[in-house]
Amino acid sequence: MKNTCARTAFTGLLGALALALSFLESLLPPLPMLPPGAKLGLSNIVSMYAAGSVGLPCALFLAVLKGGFAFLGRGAAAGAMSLSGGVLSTLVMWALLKKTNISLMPIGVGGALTHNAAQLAVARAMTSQAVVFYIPALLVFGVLTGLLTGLVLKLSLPPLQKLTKKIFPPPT
Amino acid sequence: MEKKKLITPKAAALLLLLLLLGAGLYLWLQAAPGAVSATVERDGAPLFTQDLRALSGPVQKDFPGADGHTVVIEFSPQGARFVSSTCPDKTCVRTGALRHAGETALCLPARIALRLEGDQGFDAATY
Repeated sequence: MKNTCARTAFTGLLGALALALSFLESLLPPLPMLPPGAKLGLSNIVSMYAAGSVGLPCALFLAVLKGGFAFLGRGAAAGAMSLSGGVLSTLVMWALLKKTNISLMPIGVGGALTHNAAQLAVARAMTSQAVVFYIPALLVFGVLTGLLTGLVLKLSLPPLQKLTKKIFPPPT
Repeated sequence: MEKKKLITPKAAALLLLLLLLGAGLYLWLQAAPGAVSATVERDGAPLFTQDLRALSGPVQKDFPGADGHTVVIEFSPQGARFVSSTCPDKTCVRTGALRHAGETALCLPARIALRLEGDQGFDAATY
């Protein structure tokens, strides 16, 4: 029971962190040469950590939470984009983290590219196939932001693991 | 997860290849010739086509989109752009002016796509 409470509280903390990072990057000015609306995906760091260290249900909850907030704040289209990208990239990152020996940076890239691919598919369903124009820019940007995600996660893992061990002490 | 490496040489080579592929495609699209027509699509179906060569100056037109949204698009001999939209995030407006054939701007909430095309023999505005 205690463990369940701690897990729920920790998931809430990660959710708040993911939303705060999403809000933070929405304040950044648009980057030149990139498709409008493209973001650094800082909250993917939280999703990747959750998928690898806390579990798939927690990571999927974060994706749904972010999608819900995008829906409330920016409408149905933004909600659908956020939810599709978040859920698919979380599933891919979880599978790569748990089922393969692939290193962290390529996993970050895999998450970023599947996030972009899912969003592109939703945009294609909502408008027209003209969205393929964005593929090259999203490919370059996805690789770069995915590398960043993997790097930041690798650097943050030691303190995060200490924190996790305090919250979920191993059974004695 | 903490035992995983940051990156391996093989993965680095693969990612570099992906990066070069994306950059090459991006530069190829940027080198496209200037546009001669602009097409507005709603829900994937063509709504309006404007021959840009037939214009002597900027012209603005309103287009009704999905969910009660309306967008205003400006066509000019140089290209086209979203001027305003009733959508919440204005991503379409921030896209700015499109100049080259193939360039696309989207307003997802209104489900409207603006696409520039190369020489296809348009000689008038058609609905």
